[in-house]
Amino acid sequence: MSNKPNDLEALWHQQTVSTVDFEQLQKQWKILRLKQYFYLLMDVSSLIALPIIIYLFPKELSTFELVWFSFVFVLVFVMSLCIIWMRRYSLGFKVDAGNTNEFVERFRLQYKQNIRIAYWNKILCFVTPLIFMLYLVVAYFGEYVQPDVLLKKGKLLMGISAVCMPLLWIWASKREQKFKKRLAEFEAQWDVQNSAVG
Amino acid sequence: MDFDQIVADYGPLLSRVASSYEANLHLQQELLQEISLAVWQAMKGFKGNSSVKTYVLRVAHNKAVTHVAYHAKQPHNEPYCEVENPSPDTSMSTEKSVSQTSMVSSLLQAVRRLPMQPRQIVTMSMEGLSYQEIAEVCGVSAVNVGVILNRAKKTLMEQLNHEQ
Repeated sequence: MSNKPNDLEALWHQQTVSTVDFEQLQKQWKILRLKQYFYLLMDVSSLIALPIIIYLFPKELSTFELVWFSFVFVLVFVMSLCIIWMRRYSLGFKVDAGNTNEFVERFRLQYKQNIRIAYWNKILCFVTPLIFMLYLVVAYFGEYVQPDVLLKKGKLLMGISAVCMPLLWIWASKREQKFKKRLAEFEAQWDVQNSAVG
Repeated sequence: MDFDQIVADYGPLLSRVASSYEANLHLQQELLQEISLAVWQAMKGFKGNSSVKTYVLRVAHNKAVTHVAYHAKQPHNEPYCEVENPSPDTSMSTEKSVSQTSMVSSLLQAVRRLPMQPRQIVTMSMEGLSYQEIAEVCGVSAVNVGVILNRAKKTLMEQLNHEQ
């Protein structure tokens, strides 16, 4: 091969190319949309579950429980807003949104936010049982709920705390580690580039 | 613009973008599908501020960045893969065909060895984009594009000549 850069271009265009599978593309698009709807449904249902309980069972709930659920709802609502704020780099994260440098920077920032979200999920695993316990203690000593009903609720809440929270902690911890690893690998790719051209 | 038309006009270009990021044929085909899907979705947002080719390349490279972010681990050692290599041009003599396939393969390997930004710049240059267009896609100045491109091409030529 001669040393003409034009030869590179000619050679580049000689490579054999693959074809786009249009049917597969349409399937991928449908799955992608279904996933988005599912995530949306999950987000919305986690937000509206408490108001629905308060609306559907007002007579079954004591005034204390009504106030308590409202307090927890406000807490969940604020937390959801915080998580949405943390996801701001990936929300509306379109591939045509900017040049490649901006895109890489947003990706890097989103990884950092994902690490933070996973960390806060781990904190939540400790806070949630505390909220449950606080509810049971206040309901017991304030005599706001019938003892037998409170015992049932206590078993349920402690069961959730004992089973779901450790699982959630393990899941969040794994996500935290995964995103830390990905961030390091991603930064290494682009730092190599900076040192090479700088 | 109709997506069929986009695929007809830019399908080979998208395939070459995918091949510059991914050596494994199976993952390459997967990346090509991902890029095509991204281009399909992004075409709704095309306002004509640049040429269609520049826009398509920007979307394709940004999508490839996403691919790198999720799959960037150790360099692939091209394990067995069920996707078959596209058939080479049969109109040439066998000897010439083998030689050309070897050269193209060497070029692709050399391109993949380049760091990310020079790799993007050199492939876009080989696709016929001007310095200014490449600068818009990558978010660097046109002067920097020239510097990076010259260094990258020099590296590629050295590696190709070394392998011959």
